[in-house]
Amino acid sequence: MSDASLREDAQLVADIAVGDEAALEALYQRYGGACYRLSRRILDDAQLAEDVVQQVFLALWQGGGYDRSRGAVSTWLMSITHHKAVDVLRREAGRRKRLADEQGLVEIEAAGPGPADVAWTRLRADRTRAALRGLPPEQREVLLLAYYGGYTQREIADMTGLPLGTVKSRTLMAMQRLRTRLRDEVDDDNGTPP
Amino acid sequence: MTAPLTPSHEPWDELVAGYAIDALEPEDEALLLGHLSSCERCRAELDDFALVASQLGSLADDEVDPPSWQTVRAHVVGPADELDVRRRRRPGHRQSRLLAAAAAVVVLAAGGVVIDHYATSSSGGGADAALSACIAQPDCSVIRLDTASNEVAAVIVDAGKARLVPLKMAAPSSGRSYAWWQLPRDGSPIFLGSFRNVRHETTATPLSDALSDTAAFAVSIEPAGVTPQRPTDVVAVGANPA
Repeated sequence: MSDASLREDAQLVADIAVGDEAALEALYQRYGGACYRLSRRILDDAQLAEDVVQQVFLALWQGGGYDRSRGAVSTWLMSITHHKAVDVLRREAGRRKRLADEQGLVEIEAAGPGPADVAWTRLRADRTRAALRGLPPEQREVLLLAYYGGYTQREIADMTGLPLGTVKSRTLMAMQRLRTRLRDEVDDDNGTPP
Repeated sequence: MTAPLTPSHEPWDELVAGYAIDALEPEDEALLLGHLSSCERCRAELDDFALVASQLGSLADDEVDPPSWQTVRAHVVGPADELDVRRRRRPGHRQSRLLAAAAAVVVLAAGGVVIDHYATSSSGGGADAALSACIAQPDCSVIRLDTASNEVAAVIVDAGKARLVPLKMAAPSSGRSYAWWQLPRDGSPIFLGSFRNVRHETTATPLSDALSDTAAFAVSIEPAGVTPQRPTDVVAVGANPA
């Protein structure tokens, strides 16, 4: 078997499916940090975050569910991590404080890249943060409360006093704007030599 | 949530955006999953928004180190001396894949025989008999699963266990299998099992969430041989009337 660290993501997933532990380790080394940081940001608890990451990679090891026709491996891993972390958060609701209070949102907007980030991760985070700052504040708020706070749209409506329909429409507008902004930047990159 | 049946697609877009960031209420999630099965546009939109959501995840750059691979490995793969045993049990193991491939060949050889037929239950009395027997019992419940136009399956819940009875389902295509799900009112979809045989009901599966806490059941199509984390292409949904 070739050096796992040099294989493409999709090839690693295929190799994991036939029991290649080196492929699993390579994928963990590539994305485990991002999954852990996302999970920890949502849960604000190191042990719970570690449990979530273990669940994500256990699921991958036991058969996955990744469908390459639906997007990149990294997107899928982050999506599963978010899903599991929010699930844990909601099960824990009432017993512990959720992170995404006002201070938590400020921290996410202001934070700089961490030292463990590789260059592409840092670049992606910078761009996403810039795109997020370009959103109207009322759209940014509902998006971050949902994504990092793990709140449902109805809970956000209750917290903010907004009609549920407004929360839904602001979420949609925020996602559409982010998509446009992030897509434009990718297009710009394609025309510019590094 | 009222069904967004307006000429505009925006209500569905709103649900897709909420789903991509795991922010929907269970009833909205069940509604959307039913719609996704028949709307290629919304599936593409969901893939797009999932990418946006993953980029939002890149902002979680706390200055914290993730657990080491050895730590994660011990929980995921297990100690080295257990490795061979665990690999033999894995559903993605090469041998089970070969068996799945062989099964696919058998299905192909059948040449469409199993398209659009009515199933019989494993008890030999037929699907109708199984449903009638359940309806006659006070503590047994039937939840019927529909596509946009047809009733295709039913879930029978009895004594805390559920089994799915295919009524009018086409055999899945090669490399695919059906998965069935419990959609709790509060929480994420719970995977109940996979099946390819649409002639027989599934085995009874204990429900981790009570029927009273269940918003709906659903059937999705997934890649064969994997345990899906959440439904992708939903083909039928049945709301719990209770």
